[in-house]
Amino acid sequence: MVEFKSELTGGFSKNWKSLSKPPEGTDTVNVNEETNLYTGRGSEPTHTLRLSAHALENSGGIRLNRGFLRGGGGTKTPLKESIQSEGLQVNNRQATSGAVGGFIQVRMPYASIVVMLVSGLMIGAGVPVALFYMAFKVGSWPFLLAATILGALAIFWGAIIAIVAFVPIMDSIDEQVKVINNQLNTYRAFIRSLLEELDDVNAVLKDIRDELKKVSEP
Amino acid sequence: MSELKYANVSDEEVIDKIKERIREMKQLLSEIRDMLKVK
Repeated sequence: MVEFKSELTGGFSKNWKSLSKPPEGTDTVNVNEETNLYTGRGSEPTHTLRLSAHALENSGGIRLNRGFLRGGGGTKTPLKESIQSEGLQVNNRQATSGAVGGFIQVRMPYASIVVMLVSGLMIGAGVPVALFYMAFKVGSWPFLLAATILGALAIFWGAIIAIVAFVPIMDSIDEQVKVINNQLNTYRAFIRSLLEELDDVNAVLKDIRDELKKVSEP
Repeated sequence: MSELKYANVSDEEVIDKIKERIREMKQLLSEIRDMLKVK
């Protein structure tokens, strides 16, 4: 059972914080869509991310604020199934590993990054120093000229290697941003569907009130 | 698949609308409770 704690009475501050870090034990939803799905302005013309207005009542799996809209349906369908049926996709691997649920664990190749940085530093700094040391020790102009050219080349390639070492870090940051954006879009779609659901509930309540008024009138 | 009704509404407005709907719901429920009270 998954609970979306809206905390409507206490404000949304906690809920908004939980966008990036939902409570432990809650399932999470991932959507393979980067664009603003809730607005429909994306690469795809249709809403692949959309909770229908009756997704909550059909599933009964989403309870708001521990009792709000409780018991929305007789059958208790897990959130995953209900959302998948609505076009969303839950990635189990990411959910269990916490990649979506706030704890974004993107494994970075730290060893290769360190090796690349160290080698870049050695080539960019060690090689020119060694070359100039030898050139000054020999004390001839051709050696000094060669050391200058080779030192410049070594600094250039060392810088290239150091820049390449940061590529995995940038990739992991991009991946984290993508995951957070997907999660945020999911929550945005969810609160919009919740609002539609509340509209329906209010309409039903108004009908009940009107009927009761009719009955109570003599 | 139908469009989201509030697709072009900002997040803050959506939250305000949700709060407003809940207030309406409370009001309606209290009215219904008063009507159902046994006199």
